[in-house]
Amino acid sequence: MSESQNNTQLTAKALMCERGGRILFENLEFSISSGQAMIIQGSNGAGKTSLLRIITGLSQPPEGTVSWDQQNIDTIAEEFQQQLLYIGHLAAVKRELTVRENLQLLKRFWPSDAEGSIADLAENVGLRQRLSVSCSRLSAGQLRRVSLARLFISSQKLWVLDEPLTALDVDFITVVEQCLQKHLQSGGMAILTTHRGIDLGEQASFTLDL
Amino acid sequence: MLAIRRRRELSNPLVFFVIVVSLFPLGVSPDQDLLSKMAPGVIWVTALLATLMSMDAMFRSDYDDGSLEQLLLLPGPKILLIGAKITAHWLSIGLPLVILAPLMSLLLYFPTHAIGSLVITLLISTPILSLLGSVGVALTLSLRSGGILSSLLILPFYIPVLIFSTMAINASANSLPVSGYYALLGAFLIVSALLIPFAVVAALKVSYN
Repeated sequence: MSESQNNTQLTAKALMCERGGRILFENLEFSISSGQAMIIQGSNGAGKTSLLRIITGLSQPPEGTVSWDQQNIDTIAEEFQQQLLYIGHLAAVKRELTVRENLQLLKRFWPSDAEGSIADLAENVGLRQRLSVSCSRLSAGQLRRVSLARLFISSQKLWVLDEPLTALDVDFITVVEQCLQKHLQSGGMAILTTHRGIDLGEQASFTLDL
Repeated sequence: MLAIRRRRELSNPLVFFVIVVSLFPLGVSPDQDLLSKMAPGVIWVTALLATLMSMDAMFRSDYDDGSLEQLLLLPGPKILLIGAKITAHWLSIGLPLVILAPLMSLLLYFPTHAIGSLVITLLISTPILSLLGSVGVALTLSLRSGGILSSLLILPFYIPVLIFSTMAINASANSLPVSGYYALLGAFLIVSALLIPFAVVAALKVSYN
């Protein structure tokens, strides 16, 4: 881990994306290294989510490549996915299950070295009192909190977050900001889209306008 | 990792199966000869439709709430994951059908000595139905009216399974040798179990592109 700490990089070269016959962006290039965050801004339909999906490897760009440590993410899909945490605009929370069960699922699927019980995790996202409530009865903001719980136990290096702040209250936005800052300070990287400002420190983040 | 996926979905298709089969004697005629002749076909067609009804549930809710993309981004072989999904689908629909069918067959004066072959054909064929169906569903996930389209896609592939299964039951009702049919169905099962998970992974990638 420590030897690759400084030279890990996510690079995009000549990315192109089209939806419904319209070209959303062309010749898009960027590169992010450890400790940096990229904030993607753009109007609705500008291709923010499409770009994130290309970065995660969920969809293939018609042109261009995304590489991780100088290797195409398709050829090292296994390694790349170990380092990737993606939270889409869909919460990926099972509504039939309770908060506790959903958090247990998160912990099972993404094992981490982080200590702590489900209750601690729920404490982090402010849902301690709601552990045995079915997720179908939660509000939009609470569902978002459940899905963001992964940030607190993540050992992945690259965080790709699609509109992580939607529906959250001011207090919890601060919590997420702090969590992101901590992640960047420990050598992580983050790519996120947002419509509202997020403060991650001047040097640590840069903005990409689509 | 495989056992984690818990499901709390009610089995509507099973209720459908029970209702349709029990309505037949009321609707057609309670005549014993007629019913026992029709029984293999009725049970099989109903079981097939019940499976078809349930196919959409396999990936739809996961697709809609975003869990499917998370599952696809998990490190590790996707084939295992898809295999687990299909197995779970079979356990929740196919296996209950296999258990219910002999009970329902009594309603239709099903020839008693052929019940064994009914259970065996269902046991071999319901996994084939789940497997074949998963490809159709995976391909049509990103379409809004995918349910109907995937039924149309899958149905032609279900027909050989239906034909061989009912032929096997009829043969056994007439005390003819049936092992040939079992062997054919078994071959279907092995080939589809080996190849289809790969096809599903590819189909899901297409759906997400």
